[in-house]
Amino acid sequence: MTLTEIIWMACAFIFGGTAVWGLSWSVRAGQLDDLNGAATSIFDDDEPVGLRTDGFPTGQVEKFR
Amino acid sequence: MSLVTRPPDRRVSIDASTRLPVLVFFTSAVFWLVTGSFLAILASIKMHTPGFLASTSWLTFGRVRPAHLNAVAYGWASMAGIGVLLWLMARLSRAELRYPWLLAVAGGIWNVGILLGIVGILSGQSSGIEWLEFPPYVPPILVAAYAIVGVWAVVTFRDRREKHVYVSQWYLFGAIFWFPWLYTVTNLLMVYQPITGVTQASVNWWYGHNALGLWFTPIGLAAAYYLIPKVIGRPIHSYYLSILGFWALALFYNWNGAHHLIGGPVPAWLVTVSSVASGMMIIPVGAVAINHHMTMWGYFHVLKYSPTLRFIVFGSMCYTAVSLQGMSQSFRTLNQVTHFTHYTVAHAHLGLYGFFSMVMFGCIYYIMPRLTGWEWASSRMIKIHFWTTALGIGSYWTILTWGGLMQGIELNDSDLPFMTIMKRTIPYLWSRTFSGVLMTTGHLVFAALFAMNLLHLGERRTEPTLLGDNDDNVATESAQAPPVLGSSH
Amino acid sequence: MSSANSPGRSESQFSGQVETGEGHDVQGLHAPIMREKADPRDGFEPIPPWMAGIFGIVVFMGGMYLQRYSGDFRADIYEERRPAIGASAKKDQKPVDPIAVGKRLYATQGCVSCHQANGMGQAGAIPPVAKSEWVAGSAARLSRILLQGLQGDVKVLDQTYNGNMPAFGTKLKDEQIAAVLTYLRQEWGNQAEAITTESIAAAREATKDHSNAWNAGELMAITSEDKVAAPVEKPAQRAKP
Ligand code: HEC
Repeated sequence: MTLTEIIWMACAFIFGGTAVWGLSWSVRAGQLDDLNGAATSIFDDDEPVGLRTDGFPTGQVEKFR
Repeated sequence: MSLVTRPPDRRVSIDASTRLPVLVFFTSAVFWLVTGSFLAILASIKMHTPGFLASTSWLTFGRVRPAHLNAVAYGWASMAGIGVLLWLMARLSRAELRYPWLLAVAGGIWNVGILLGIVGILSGQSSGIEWLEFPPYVPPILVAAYAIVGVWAVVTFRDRREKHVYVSQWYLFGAIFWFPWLYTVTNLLMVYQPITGVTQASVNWWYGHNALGLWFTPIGLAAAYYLIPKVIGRPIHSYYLSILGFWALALFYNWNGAHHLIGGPVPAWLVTVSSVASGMMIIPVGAVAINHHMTMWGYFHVLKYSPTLRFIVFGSMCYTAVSLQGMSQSFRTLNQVTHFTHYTVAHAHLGLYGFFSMVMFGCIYYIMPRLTGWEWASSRMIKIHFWTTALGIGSYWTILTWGGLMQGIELNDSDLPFMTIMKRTIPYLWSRTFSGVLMTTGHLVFAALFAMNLLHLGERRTEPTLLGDNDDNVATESAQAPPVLGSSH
Repeated sequence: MSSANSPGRSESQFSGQVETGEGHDVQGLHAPIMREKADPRDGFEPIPPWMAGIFGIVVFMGGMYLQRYSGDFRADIYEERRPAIGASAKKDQKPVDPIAVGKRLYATQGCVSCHQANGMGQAGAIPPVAKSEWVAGSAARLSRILLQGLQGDVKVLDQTYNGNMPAFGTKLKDEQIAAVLTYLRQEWGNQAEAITTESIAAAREATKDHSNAWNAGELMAITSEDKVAAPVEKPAQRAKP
C-alpha cells in the first residue's frame, strides 16, 4: 500500500466512524426515546398541533379545515 | 411528551438574527437563477440550431452549457440551499445566529467565486471535468466561503436551546459535513493532484452524483420535513420512519455514483455494488414518500391556498419520482438504452429542478416575509410562477424522457445512420427550448416578486398572501397594525 | 403567548438535565394541544408491515445481485456476467465453431470478392469453390493452395482457369486456415470432412522451403497426405492470474 492509499483509507474510516458515533450518540442521548415529542418539537407554544402557520387569515381558518 | 416550553418570542429574535445572511444568500441565488436560466436557453437553442450565436467564442456550446450547469448548481441551488440551511439550523436549534454579518461576508466570497468561475468558463478556461468545470483558482474561494458557513452552522447547533435534534437537523448535518468532504477530495484528486486512468471517471461520478444526493437532497428533505408539518400544523406521520430514512440515505447514497459508468472500462464489482446500492435507495426514498404522503393525508386541500406547501409538495413528489426513475436507470437493462441520451438529461432536471428548486421556491415563500416583515405582493404572480415552472419542468421531463428513449432504441440499432437519429431528436429539442422559456418566464416573475418583497413594494398587506384569495381584497395599511417582523400569522 | 414560561428554560438546558417541565404551567401548555384532538398516533407510527416486507425483499435481491454480478470483487474482471457458481471459467468458454469462424474469414479476408458469396467464382476468371473437386479432394493439395497460392492453368468442374490465387500462409494462422477450409468443405452443398489445425501445421512444416505459388501440375504430383505428428503434451494452460 502506498502512503496515499493509507491516508485515504484513514479518511474513509474516520468518516464512517463519525457516522457510527453519530448514530450511537443519538441512541445514548435519548434522541429516539420519545418519538411523539420529537415529531412535535418543531411547534412553538403559540402554534400547537392543529394550527396552520403558513398564515391563514383568522376569519378563514374554519373555511379551510 | 416531555414538557418543554417553546416561547414564540424567541422565534422572532431568531428570525431577526438570520435576516442579513439569509437575505444575502437568497438575493444572490435569485440572481444566479435568472443568469443560469438565460445560459440554459442559449445552450438549448444551440442543440437544434447549432449556428445560433456560434461565431462568438464566449457563447459556443462547449462553454455555455457548463456555465449554465455551474451557475444553477453552485449559484442558484447551493446559495438558496445555504440560506435555507442557516435559517433552519437557527430555528431548529432555537438559537440566534451569532455575528450574522460574518455569514453575509461568506455569501459575498461565494459570489466572487461563482462570478470568477462563470467568467472563467465562458472565456475558455473550463477544467473540462463534469460538475467541476470552474477553473482551478475558484475552488479554494468556494471552500473558504463554505468553511465559514459550515463552522457557523455547527456553532449555532452548539448554542442550541432545543434539546431534541429534529430529523431535519440530521439531514442538515449530513449536508454540512458531506459537501466539504466531497468537494475538497474531488478537487484534490481531479484538479490539483490528478489521479490517472479510469479512477478519474470513478471519482468524477462519485462526486457528480453525490453532489445531488448528499448536498442538495438532504437540504431539500430537511426543508420538507420542517415546512410540511409546520404549514399544515400537524406533526409528521411517523418520526420513526423519518429517522430510518435518514440513516438509510447516509448508508446507501454514497455508493451510487459508479452506476454512471455502466458499460465503461471499470471493474465489474464497482458498477454492480453501485447498482445494488441504487436499488437499496428504495428504503430511504420509500420512507420519505410514505411519510410525507401520510402527513399530507386529509390536508391536500391546503395546497390550494398555501404557496409554500404547493411548491414543497410538488417538490417532494418529484423527489419520489426522480428517485424511482434513477433506481431503474441504474440497472444495466434499461441503462443500455438510455445511456448517452436525452433521457438522462430529463432525469437530472427532474432531480435538481423538479425536486430541489421547487422545494427551495417553497422555502423562500415561507421564509422571506418573516425576514422582511413584508408580505408577498401578488398572489396572482405566485400562481404564474407556480404554473409556469410546474408545467415547464413537467413538459421538459415528459418530452426528453420520451425522446431519449426513442433515441436510445435507435442508437442501439446499428443499421440506422447516426445522422438520421440525430435529426429525429430535433423536434424534441425544440420543445425543450420551449419548456425552458416557460420556466425562465416563471423565474423572471419570481425575481420581480422577490425584489418587490425585498424593497417593500406594492401595497402593504396585513395578512399572508395566499393563493385562494384574490388580489383585490388586500387589507390596507390603515386597516390594521402592520405585522411584526417574524411574527407568526 | 407563553413567553412567561421562558425563564428557567435555558438554565436547565445548559446544565444538561432532562427537562421535567416541573414548575411550568402544565395545564396551560396542554390547552392548545388538547384543543384539537390530533391523531394520537402521529409521530410514532411504526413502519407498516408491508413496507418492511418490501424492504426485506429489496435487501435480499440486492444480495443476490451482488453475489451474481460482482466478478468476485476482482480488479481485473470487467464483464459482470460470469458462469454459474462452481463452474470454472474455462469450462464456460464454448468451443469455437470452425464453420462460424470460417464464414467470417471468408467474408473478411477477401475470398468473397473473388469467389463470390455463393461460392460460384466468376465465369472465365475465378474458379468456383462450391462443388469444386479441389475443395472436396485431397486435404494436402487444398492446404497448399491456401498456404502458398495457386497460379497457371487449373481445371475446375471441367472449365480451365488461369489466374492468381493469392497466398494466405503468412496472413492467417493454422487454425484460421483450417476454419475457412472447413467452411468451404461444408457449405454450398459441399460435404467433405473438416480440416484440422494439426494437418495445416503439418502441411506448413512440409512446405516450409516452398515459397512460390503452386501450379496445378505440381499439386497433382502430391499423392500422400501430410503426416500429422502425434499430439505432444500441450503447454500448460495460461497461468491463473
Ligand atoms: C484475388 C482473388 C482471389 C482471392 C482473394 C481468393 N482467391 Fe481463391 N482462387 C483465385 C483464382 C484466380 C484461383 C484459380 C487460380 C488459377 O487459375 O491457378 C483460385 C483458386 C482457389 C481454389 C482452388 C480452385 C477451386 O476453385 O476450388 C480454392 C480452394 C480457393 N481459391 C480458395 C480461396 C479461399 C479460401 C480464399 C480466401 C481465404 C481465396 N481463395 C481467396 C482467386 C482468389
